[in-house]
Amino acid sequence: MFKKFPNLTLGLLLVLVLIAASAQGRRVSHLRDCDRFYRWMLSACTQVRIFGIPGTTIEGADETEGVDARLFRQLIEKSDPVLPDIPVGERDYDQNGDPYPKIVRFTAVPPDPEADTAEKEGLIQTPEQISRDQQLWALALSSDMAPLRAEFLTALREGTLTSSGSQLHLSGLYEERGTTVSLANMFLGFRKMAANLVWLEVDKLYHKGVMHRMLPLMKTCVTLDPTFIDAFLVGAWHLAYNATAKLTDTPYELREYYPKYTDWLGEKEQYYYSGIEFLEDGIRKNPREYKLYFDLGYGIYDEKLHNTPKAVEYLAEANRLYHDRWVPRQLYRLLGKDERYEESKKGWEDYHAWQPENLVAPRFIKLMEGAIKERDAEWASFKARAAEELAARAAAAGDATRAQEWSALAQQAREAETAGYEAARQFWRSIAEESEQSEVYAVARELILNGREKLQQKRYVEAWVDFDRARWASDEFWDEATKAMVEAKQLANEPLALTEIRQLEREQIQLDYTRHLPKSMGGKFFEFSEGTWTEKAKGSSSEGTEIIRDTDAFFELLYNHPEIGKALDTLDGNIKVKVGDTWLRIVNPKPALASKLYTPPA
Amino acid sequence: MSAVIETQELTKVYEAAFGGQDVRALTNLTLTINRQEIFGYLGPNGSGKTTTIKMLLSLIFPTSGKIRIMGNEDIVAPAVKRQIGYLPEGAYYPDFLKGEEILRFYGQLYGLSGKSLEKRIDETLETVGMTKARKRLLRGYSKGMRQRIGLAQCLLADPQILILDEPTTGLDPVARKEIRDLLVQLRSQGKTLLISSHELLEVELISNRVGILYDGVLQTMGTIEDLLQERDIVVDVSGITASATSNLAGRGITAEDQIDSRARLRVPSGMSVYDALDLIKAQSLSIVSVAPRRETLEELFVRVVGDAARSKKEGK
Amino acid sequence: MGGFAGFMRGSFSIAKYTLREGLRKKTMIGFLILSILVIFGSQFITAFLAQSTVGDSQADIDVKLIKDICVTVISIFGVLITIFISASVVPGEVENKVIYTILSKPVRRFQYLFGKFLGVQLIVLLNLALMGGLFFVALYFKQQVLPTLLLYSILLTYFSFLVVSAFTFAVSCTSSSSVLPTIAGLFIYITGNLTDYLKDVYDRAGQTGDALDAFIGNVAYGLWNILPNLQYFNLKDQILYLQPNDPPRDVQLPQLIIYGLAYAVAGYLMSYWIFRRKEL
Repeated sequence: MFKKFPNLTLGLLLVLVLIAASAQGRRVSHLRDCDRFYRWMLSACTQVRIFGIPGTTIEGADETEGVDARLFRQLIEKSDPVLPDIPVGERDYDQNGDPYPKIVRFTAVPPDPEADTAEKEGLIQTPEQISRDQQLWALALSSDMAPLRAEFLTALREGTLTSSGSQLHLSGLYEERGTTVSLANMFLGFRKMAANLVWLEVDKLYHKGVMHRMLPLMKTCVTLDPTFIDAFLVGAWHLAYNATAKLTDTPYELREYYPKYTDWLGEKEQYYYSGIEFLEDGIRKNPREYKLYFDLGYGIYDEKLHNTPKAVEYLAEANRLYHDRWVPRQLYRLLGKDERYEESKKGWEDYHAWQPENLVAPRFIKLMEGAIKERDAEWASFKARAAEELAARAAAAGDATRAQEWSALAQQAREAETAGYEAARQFWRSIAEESEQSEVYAVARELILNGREKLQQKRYVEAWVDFDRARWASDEFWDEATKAMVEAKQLANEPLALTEIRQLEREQIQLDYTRHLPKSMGGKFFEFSEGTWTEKAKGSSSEGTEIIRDTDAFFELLYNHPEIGKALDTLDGNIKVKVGDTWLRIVNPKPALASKLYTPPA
Repeated sequence: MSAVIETQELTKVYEAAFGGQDVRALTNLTLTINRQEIFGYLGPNGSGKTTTIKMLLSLIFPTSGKIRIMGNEDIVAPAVKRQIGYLPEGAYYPDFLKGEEILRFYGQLYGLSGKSLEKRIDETLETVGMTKARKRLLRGYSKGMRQRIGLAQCLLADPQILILDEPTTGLDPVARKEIRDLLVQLRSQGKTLLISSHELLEVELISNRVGILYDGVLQTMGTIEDLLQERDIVVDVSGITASATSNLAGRGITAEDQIDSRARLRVPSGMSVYDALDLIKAQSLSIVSVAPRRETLEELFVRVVGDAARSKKEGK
Repeated sequence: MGGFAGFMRGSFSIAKYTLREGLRKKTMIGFLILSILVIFGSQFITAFLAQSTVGDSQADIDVKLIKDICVTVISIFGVLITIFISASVVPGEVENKVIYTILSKPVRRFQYLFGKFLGVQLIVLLNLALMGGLFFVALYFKQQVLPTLLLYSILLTYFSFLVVSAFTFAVSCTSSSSVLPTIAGLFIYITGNLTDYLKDVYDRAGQTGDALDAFIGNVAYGLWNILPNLQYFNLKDQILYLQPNDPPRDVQLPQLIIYGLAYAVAGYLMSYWIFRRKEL
């Protein structure tokens, strides 16, 4: 045939090859679409867990948000029967306390204790993650998903998809906004280089000290290269640290309340949130990059905003991903700071088993052991208080036997409290002696406990001295010891120093502003709204047994569950809290105190 | 005598793009070259020689007509090409290679390899007298050496047909003689040679047959003996005068190449030598030499081409 | 000399010769030296970056900069070398008439062209190996880990060059000088990177309801289907930068290689179609 009709044969052959190439092109194009879809799935699922969007609850607040939510709901419906069953983990609950949809849980792989440090090329995912990713990729490729995928691509093209970054369109700068045709193509795939040039410019501005001009350039930079992790990290660092370095804290009177951030912010504080938003954008575009979570949790939420629960949340996420070895260390430290001593201790023990040569872990294990001892003593004191109160109430009601019973229990609890504090003191002393006083935290803790004891014995001046020594022994407990010292001084009727008076005034003002901001209390996290503090915990909180404050039932509750004692002690207004598996609604006849955020009902 | 190269009504028209005038490079060439023959293929520049050769090598393709090489019509077939050695005119050879490396490369294209290739390289280099320079880079070669290497690559596979385009250009007289001898020797080995050249004297010396091409048309073709058989007699004389010239011219004896009193007189064919000498003596001219003379190829060429050009002009 | 072995042997001789010849081209050597200088220089590029950041981030930015610079340099110089070589091997030989001595040998045109094409690919591969090898070493010194993924990335880079090379080669077969095919090669590279734009045109067409608009959209869609899309090969960056949220690459990589090969075959067929009856 070739001999006879060479041109015809060649032409036909060429057409055939071109058809094959074109078909292959469509397949590759299809794979690229699936690639985008896969990234969106990951990003969306991560955002549901981390930011609560595009959650199933958002109902068409505005149209673009609606598209995300609608697509995500479809994704849940389609993926649910396909994905294998996986157990619901501790952290797999949304803000309403409902477990996350299966696909969200599926994308969140529990941390692998065997996982070594990151940075080893080709090994930035744990085996479990790799296997799940393969299943997810198969899902993204599957024909079941075809209609949803098509809808997603249309939304992406039209720019109605907001919750995912420009990373989805690897070839399209600005395309996500649906404006002009892809300018990025003009770079012929050299966007990363362009991003570097912009980054050099950012660096120059930083050295000139022109902070306010850096943010737009940094945003351009990460739009050009959405995977420029270090731009996110360094950029956020510039915002949260360098831009704020020369600014003083804004007095609360000059701050403004931002409902979006549930915080009072001045100029300096706004920079922290700029940094947060920049990192959040990074997370949206790179949902699997532990460094972003780490910097957000440790660098800003802990170091700058002192929001330990949030910091723990992000560090836990960083720890879940493939990470470097400093990540769990910060996480366990912050867990301790958030009074979740058992979790912290467990973590440090795991860490010690994993990295036996690390000297930090054993110290923290001891620190946590001591903290648990102190806390147990504190709980015993709550119990004693409750029992004493119940005994007194029984006596007043004329129920002598009950009063006697409660007195006996109170006595027991008091003994337990004394023994507990003694045990804690012994513990700290043994550590201090063992280390010849070099473990300053143990020295400080012992002094604080001594001071507390002396305070109870009304030896105020001696207590004051102990506290003062404690705060100079270890700056870790500076705030706590200073506060106790001022208290001792006041009890001893000693005049306060001028700085101490100012400090108390400032604290009072701060309290006025922050009293009803969300806070963590004894390892539980509470949010205030409409006169009630509600714990954020899994399981629906709408129902709950009602207990009136300062009744017998209330004190019995306190006696049986001293772990909520601190919360009951500190929080005013009504409290909704989960004890064991049941929800309780503790009704306070006295309304919550007034603050800048809350006016109690008349 | 068997035909090695045959062409039949071979025509080549270069089609001009965009409605320009087509160029008719070759018109109805019918040519036969036999075994053991040196065929001199002559013609002025642009007459279609190279076009013909390129068609024989299927570098370009005929517009119409047929080519048969060794009885084979499929001249693209490697088996046919295997029998052809071609020396292009003014060809360039990669100058970053050594003489023997070039030959090795071309030998591989012939499908030679190993010991037989090395043996052939040795032999061929010896044949063209390049053994001493074989290890040198081509960059250092003179024009003549390059031409010899070109000849070597075309002899390498011991082909039956040699197509040589200007084989002796750039060579010194001694080398020319060597090459000429080599070509004659090759013919005696049974090879067939097609030589396209402007060196008419050389062609005349070694060719059996020539063909003269003008404007794509074969004007004349035949053996040297057939084509150059016209003989006349030339008498060189001295003491010529204008009256003697006119007197002799009246009898048919023409004077040419007159320098001072010396001249060359051409006796027309048909007139006997003795009659002519009598006539010359009658003009009291002294005779320097008397020689019979065959027409040279150059003269034939000029005449044929001149006639063709004239008739073309008139035709227009 | 017969059969496939003979065919390949002839082609290999020509390829080997093309390689030796190509390696002597001054332009190519120039590009190569330039790219090697830049890749080498990328080691020190961060000296220009004032040490604004601390510890890890600085080291990471170093690595990123080296990767970016090397990827860009390899892409730009690599494609220039590819275009330049693909555009010049055949016209160059027509120009200096070496082709006459070769094609008058028992060498089929297909064989000759195949050898030339093979030779071009050898040159391109050699260049990539040199540049990629240096990149590999540079990364190794910075990271102290063998950057094995780079090899996959370089492999994909090669297949993108292969497509450009094949079509440039086809154009070069129409021409007797290398100027036109070089320009055409650049054009092919740029167009190949802009193919996505056609899809955009198609997606946006039809909004006006105008018949012409829809027609243009369909034409664009047809072209998008036929023309090779070099942006697809950006997977090479994805592999190199390795983000943890990338999908598994084991499906895309071989498909892309097949894609590159298919267009290379198409390009080669076009060259043969053009060259088969080309008058030399």
